[in-house]
Amino acid sequence: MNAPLILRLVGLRYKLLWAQTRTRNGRIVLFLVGYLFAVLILILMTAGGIGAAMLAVRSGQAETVAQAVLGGLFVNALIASVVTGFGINTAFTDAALRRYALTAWDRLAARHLTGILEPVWIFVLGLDLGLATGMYVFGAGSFWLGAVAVVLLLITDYLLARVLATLIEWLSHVKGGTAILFLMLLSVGFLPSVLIPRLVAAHGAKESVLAALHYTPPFAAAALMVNAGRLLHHFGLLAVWIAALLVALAAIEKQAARPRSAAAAAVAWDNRYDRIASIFGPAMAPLIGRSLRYYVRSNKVRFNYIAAIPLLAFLTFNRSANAAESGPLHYFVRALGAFAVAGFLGTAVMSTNQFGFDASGFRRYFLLPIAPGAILRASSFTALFVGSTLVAAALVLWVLFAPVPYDPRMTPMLLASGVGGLCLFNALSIWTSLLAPRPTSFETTFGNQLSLAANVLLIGGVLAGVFGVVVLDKMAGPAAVLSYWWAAILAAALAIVFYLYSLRRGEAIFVSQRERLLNTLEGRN
Amino acid sequence: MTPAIEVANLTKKYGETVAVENLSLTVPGGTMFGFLGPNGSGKSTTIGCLTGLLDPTAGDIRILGEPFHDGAVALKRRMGVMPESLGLFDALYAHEFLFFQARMFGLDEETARHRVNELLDAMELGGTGKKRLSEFSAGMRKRVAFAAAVIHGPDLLFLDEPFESIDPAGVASIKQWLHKITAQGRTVFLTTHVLETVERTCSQVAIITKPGKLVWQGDIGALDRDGTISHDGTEFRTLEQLFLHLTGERYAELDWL
Repeated sequence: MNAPLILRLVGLRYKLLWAQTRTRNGRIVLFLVGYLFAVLILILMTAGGIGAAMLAVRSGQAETVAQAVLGGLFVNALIASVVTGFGINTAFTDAALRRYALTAWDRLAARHLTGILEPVWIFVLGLDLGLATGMYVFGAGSFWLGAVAVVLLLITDYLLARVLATLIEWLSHVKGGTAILFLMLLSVGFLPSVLIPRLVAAHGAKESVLAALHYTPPFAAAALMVNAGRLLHHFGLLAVWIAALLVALAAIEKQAARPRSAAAAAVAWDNRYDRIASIFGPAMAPLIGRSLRYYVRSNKVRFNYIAAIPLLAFLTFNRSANAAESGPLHYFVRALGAFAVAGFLGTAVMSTNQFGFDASGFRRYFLLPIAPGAILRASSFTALFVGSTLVAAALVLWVLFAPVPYDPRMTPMLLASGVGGLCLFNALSIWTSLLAPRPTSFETTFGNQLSLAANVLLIGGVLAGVFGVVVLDKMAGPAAVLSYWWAAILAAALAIVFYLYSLRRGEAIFVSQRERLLNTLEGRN
Repeated sequence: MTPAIEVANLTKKYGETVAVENLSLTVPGGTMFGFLGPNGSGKSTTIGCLTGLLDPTAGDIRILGEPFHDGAVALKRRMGVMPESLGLFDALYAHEFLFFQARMFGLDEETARHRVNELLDAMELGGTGKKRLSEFSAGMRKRVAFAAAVIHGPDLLFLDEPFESIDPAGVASIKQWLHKITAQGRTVFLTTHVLETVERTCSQVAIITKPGKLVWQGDIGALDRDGTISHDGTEFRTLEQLFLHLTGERYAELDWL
């Protein structure tokens, strides 16, 4: 194995990360990320790590607490990496590494070593190590065993995230793959709410599930951390997981790497996009037809679009214990938040960075014989239009299937929430697209390529929408929320006004800042 | 005939950096005009200013006899541009991209579709119906960008490095079309580093050096007629000799190579 060259590539990856800080924006991002990183590590090491260890030792249930903490971190890191794309950015592709004197195994090692040394995974490792240190300090485990266990756990977590991401990427390229993906996401969205109550009710099911969980990586790592005996068994279990995931990853990557399409075919005129775009008038139709094709053909958008409703359904209906206490009206309050983000969530990867996918095509906009403001308008209208189909679909699903008693105020409130959220988030997306653009690969499904501002808007917006209503629910209750039905409509009207203002102001900025945008989007900044 | 391009004292600065300095230039209508200069001399910046992509810091530009500015929509409709970076929308198929371009430049749907089909056949891109532009080779991308620049029949055509990456047959076709365009009284403004191509295709040439300063403009027909071009009392047998003399560029020797 060409270890020196592989290590040099890892070093290059960090140099490239560091290079991003040469710009003013890059330095701001570095400062914020560094600050957040330090604060989070401190809080989580004490509260989640050493604090958890203290709790574990005092309660006499060290292994159970370790299982819970490691399991939680494992699942959260997995979800965060697959859903937000953090931690699975491809620093070097296999094709890019072929220019170096590396064998196939060297290239595999280089890719995954640079992958697992991404800051996100180091952050997760820091949290896991916090627990291991806490357990050791309070006498509930061996430090070295714990350290080895968390490293192995991290490798499994990383590999599982890669397997899932590569599988989804592959599915989004093959014929029929989108339908399979949609079914998978629907299962993830709805199965827990169906299965958990039945498992809780079934005799002996809990014990069976717990017994099965002992074969999972977090439980094996927890057993090692607290030195619970059968060391070889637990090490072996983690090794088997790693080996199985490596084999699965190699198989999927091999499948995904096969060349797609490219067969010679005559020109086939497909007018669907242009027909839809024609509803915006003849002047805007070509621009919107072009934008629509980008939205529909982007793997990133397609994945987020089909994932949006299952994900929001999961967040709305999977707090059954609390809802059961006070009735299904709580679902309605949570749905208000879900509707507000539904349209945005499906398109945000493109709408928060509207020109990032255009590459050198951005240059062409200013060569066209039109007022440049029309470009921004067309791009934003397309995001609104695509997002509105999600709001409409969510509303139909709600009316048909939601297990909530009928109230005539609900539908207009949900519609107002959907429209208001769509306008608010798309207004903010205009600002992130103009002030914090970033060149982005059109072809990939995964990897977070958004700017800090776009990430704050996407992640913060979704969290605010989904969890803000939980606070509202707890503070006011569903009856009070329903009695202020007009407030939802007023908020939607304000959001529309804000959107129109942002569009108008944004058009002027788009023209005046075009040289800066051009430099950034063509990679010269 | 009205000059196709008139530039007076054009200056473009990026902060403190001067990219083009006080450039004055006249391009006669109906000519094939070569715009030459070393790398980084400001050719693309000049084209950016002449096509509305960049705002000049100072100076006046007249295109086809009318003052040109960023909002000159009617004038832009008479111009075709093939930028160096090509400016393609990679998610589209070639025919979709060309149709988009044609519609944006005011062609009706039927004419646009007809011209797209003709251009794709002429460019030997007819079998690429299911291939996105991102999957095209460099030469194919260049052909598409050229087709996009000419699809609406512009009166003034800007071509930045039009022949690079294209195979000899493609280059021959494009040269023929360019001759046809100029024979109809329309103008081609092209930049390239392949000076032999300029010798064979252009009638007028301008040479600039860093930072965007005009050092020579003239008729290179003398090369065909007399076999030499005279400048400052010196005779140059090729455009390359004149270019190297004017720009001060030289071949670097690498002992180890």
